[in-house]
Amino acid sequence: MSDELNPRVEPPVPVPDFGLGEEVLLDYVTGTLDDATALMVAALMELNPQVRAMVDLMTDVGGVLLEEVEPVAMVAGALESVLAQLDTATVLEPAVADADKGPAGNQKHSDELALLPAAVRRQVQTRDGTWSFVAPGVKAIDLGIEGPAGADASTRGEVKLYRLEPGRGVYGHTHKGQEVTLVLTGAFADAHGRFGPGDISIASPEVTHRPVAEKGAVCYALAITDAPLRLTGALGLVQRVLGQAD
Amino acid sequence: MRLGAAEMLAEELSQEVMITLWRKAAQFDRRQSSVSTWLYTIARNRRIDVLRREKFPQYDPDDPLLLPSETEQPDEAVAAGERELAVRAALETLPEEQAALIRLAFFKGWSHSEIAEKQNLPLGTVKSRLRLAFRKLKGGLDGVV
Repeated sequence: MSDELNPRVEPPVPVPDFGLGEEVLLDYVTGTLDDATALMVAALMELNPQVRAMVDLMTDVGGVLLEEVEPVAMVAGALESVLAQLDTATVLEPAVADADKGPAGNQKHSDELALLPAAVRRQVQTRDGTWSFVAPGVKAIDLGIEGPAGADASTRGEVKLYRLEPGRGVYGHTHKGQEVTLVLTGAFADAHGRFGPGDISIASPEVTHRPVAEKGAVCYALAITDAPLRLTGALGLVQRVLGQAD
Repeated sequence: MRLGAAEMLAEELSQEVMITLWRKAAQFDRRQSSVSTWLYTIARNRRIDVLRREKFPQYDPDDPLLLPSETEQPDEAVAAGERELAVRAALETLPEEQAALIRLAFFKGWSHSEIAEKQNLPLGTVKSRLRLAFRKLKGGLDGVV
């Protein structure tokens, strides 16, 4: 149901403190968030102690509510089954990611990658993809996670890690859906302002923006689009001619 | 287990959670969290693992919530149990319309948009209530723990 269709007068929704609203953090805590946004929340938690504290609080609430749940009888033989599994199965520990291992063929960025939030670094390592050219001084790596379904459910967006060299930027572009960008290191600026580590820029479909990294530091940013980007200007024409956009 | 999974899955999950608890008991640090928070985290993670096993076989079960917080170092003298009591007390101060949505999220395992859809509430109302609720909880707990 859309807000506009409801005749009731709604109180204004408080502006998110962290770029992502508490309802998104709650979805993360209950495990209902899509993988793409969950990665962004995990990265944001490492960059912003306030977000971490809020997620911890929500998890505590989960624990407190757990105690309110009426006990439910387990099936007959459940205890025996558990004890048998404890006796036989080997201990399953999550594989510890090798923090020193950079993505293959991209060793030159390994020092920079070490500065990224662990959640992002792990995804880069798991994916082991290659960097592709976006614009001069700008490249991106697809993290292999499907973006959340956008307004047009037939197209799925993508999750990319961008690397912008100081003073370099992405061509002006619009999106079919929303683009949410979290700055991980360095900073970029566009017509809407300056975005530093932990800041989130949300660009709606009608906005054309051209983010440029600040001079002095390489900027890494995690971007989720809920539909592929549409370039504006001359390059957009080339993209349309090549049939990459509709 | 009221996490929205089918009964057989719930049974399987419950058993897996018990096994995980037993195996990870040595890693539990009561200065970092209360037993109930820890149990909730393990149960939630097992549910994500199971639900995504088919769709996302490569899903990495490593979760920052299972690691001790580096940003927050609560005074060791403040027992986790005290925090739990404070959270419980703060929850009771919430208006029912806000508390009800939080219960749906945890008990039904619904996302905030599912809550809006199934409760026939505008999405903006759900967002608004959840934002206000957690800000109030946070505000009420600041300085306590």
